[in-house]
Amino acid sequence: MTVENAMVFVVDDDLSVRKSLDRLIRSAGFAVETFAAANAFLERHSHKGPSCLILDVKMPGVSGLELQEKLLSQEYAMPIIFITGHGDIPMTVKAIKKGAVNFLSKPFDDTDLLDAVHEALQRDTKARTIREKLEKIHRCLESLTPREYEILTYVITGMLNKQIAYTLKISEKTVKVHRGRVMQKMSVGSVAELVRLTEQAHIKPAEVLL
Amino acid sequence: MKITTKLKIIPTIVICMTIASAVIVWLSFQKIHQKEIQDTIITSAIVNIFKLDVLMHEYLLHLEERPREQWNIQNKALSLLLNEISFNNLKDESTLKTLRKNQAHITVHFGRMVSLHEDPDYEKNDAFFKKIYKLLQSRIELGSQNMIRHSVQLHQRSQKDLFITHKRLSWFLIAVMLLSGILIALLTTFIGRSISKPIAKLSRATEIVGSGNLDFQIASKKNDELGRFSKTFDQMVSRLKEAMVSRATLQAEVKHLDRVATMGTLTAALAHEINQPLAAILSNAQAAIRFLKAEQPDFHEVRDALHDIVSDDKRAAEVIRRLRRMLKKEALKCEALELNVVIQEIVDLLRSEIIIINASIAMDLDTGIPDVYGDRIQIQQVILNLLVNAFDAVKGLPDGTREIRISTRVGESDSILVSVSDSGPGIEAHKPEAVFEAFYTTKNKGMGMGLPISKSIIEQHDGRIWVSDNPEGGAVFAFTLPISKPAIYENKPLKGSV
Repeated sequence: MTVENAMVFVVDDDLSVRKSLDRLIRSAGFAVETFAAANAFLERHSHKGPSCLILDVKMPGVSGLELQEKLLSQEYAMPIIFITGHGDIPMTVKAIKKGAVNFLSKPFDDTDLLDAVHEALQRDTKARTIREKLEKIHRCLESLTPREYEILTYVITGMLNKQIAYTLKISEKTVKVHRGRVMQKMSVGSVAELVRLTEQAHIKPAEVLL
Repeated sequence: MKITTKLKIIPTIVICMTIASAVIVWLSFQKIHQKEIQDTIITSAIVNIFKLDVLMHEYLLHLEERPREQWNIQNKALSLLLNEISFNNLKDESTLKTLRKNQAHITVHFGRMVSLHEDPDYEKNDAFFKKIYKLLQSRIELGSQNMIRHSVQLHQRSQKDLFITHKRLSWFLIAVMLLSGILIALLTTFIGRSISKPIAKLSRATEIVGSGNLDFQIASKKNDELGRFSKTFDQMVSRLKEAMVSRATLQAEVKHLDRVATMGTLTAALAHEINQPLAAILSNAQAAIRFLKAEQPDFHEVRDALHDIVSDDKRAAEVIRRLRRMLKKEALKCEALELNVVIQEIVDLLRSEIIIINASIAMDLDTGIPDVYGDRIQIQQVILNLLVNAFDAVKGLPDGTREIRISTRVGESDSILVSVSDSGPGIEAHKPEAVFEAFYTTKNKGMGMGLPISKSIIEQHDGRIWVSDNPEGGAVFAFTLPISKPAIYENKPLKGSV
């Protein structure tokens, strides 16, 4: 049930806890990297594959919650599992609201932590796949000329070439050529496929009165 | 014997001796008087004998009636006089007898002489009569001479006797005075010593007890006023000791209560301090199980996990040990303390609290300081109180400005200076010393006993504690501890003092 090329990051100021987590996670077959402080993690961590972060809430210097905020402000945030020795409810709510996948109180059972890690990694894998797909869609969309993009927004409304030509006041033939290029650049075989892709990329169809 | 009785002895003896001496002197005077009377009688007798002699010669010359009668009268007077006298000693008595015999002789001879003159034949036998007459005359004269000689002898002896009696009396009086003097001097010394000795003992006992040794007892066996006073003194000292012991016990209770209360405010942090190694132990153990369950068990990992479990367990045990020590009631123990280690132990215990309140602590400990003497727990209690106060002072500040600094330095006059400063609002400047008064508190929780107790601990260790404002903001609490052993540990420690 392991996730390919995954990496688990641990940030905790307590050496004993850090060492034990490192060992426990390795025992389940995951790759681990540990950091004693939030700043060290921010400066040094880099991993291309799926990953998640096990984070102590209270630490000297930058605390776990502060690190979560910093990660959220970045382009991409990995799933965070919070661990705490003195968890209180407001703190938990705050962390979960900001997207933490789990909140564990020390001491925790190995299954609880490993399940949480597994779930977080799967979530990250899924998120990465979606992101990659979206990136691909965006790359395709970027290759379109402005006119082609315009035609696209009309095509996905379900209008016929004739209607589009009428609305844009161009020849039906021109519309047909553009439409063919769009279908080719977006590498789709049917309008239905194109509609699904544009929906994923949150492209709004053109507003027309039928 | 009571002191008042002892004091009565001297006048009593003086009065007794005076009365006895007076009686003896009176009796002596009586005796002297008697002897003087006898002597006067003897003198009178001598005069009488002379008169008799003169009268006899007068009679022989004129043979008249008048001297003869005069002689008889005088002779009778002499007999009366001689009958008046009596002596105790044989010598005088025999002299007196001879005297009386002589008188009887001359009386007889004189009678014969008179009858010779009245004899009608006196004129006729002139030669015969003259012969007898001459004989009688010589006899009377001899008797008279004898009487005079004996009387004078008696008189002389009487005079001598009187002189001796006078002399004896004088010596007796001198002896009585000397004896009285010596006796009074001896008694005064003896009685004085029997009073002054216990008083000196009492004053020495007062000094000893005053210097702090409450185990001292006079244990006087005497039953007089001072003996009773000594017993009362002993009772007073043992009551005082009981009071001191109960006061020390009470102080110890208060100190212990303060420690428990202070530790009570830190329960979350202290629980976290134990929870951390416990969490690590659980994870390590479960990891080890997983490594063992694997198809190819990794014994290296299992061994490392077990090593970590052992050291984490020790870490948890150390936290509990320190906690227990702070919460326990133990007897005051003086030992040489490495102040930096003592401080580090407390700071380690408070590590979680510092993280919880998101403060930073700077340790500025001089590694070159010598050891101090004192009770580890009590010194740690002071540091704990000062640190907890510093935590409270910085709690309200914005993130990143909560700073606490603890430092050790060699201070003035062979002492170590420890200071705890914070970046909080500081002490209200008008009365900084008030913070050391009991029940003075600016916090909602807490008894206001932390600082007064800290002050009493430091002062018991011959140190000083004070507060000042940090020029860079916040308060600085500082205390000193002497390098030498504090006086409290020099005396025998009081039972129960903690």
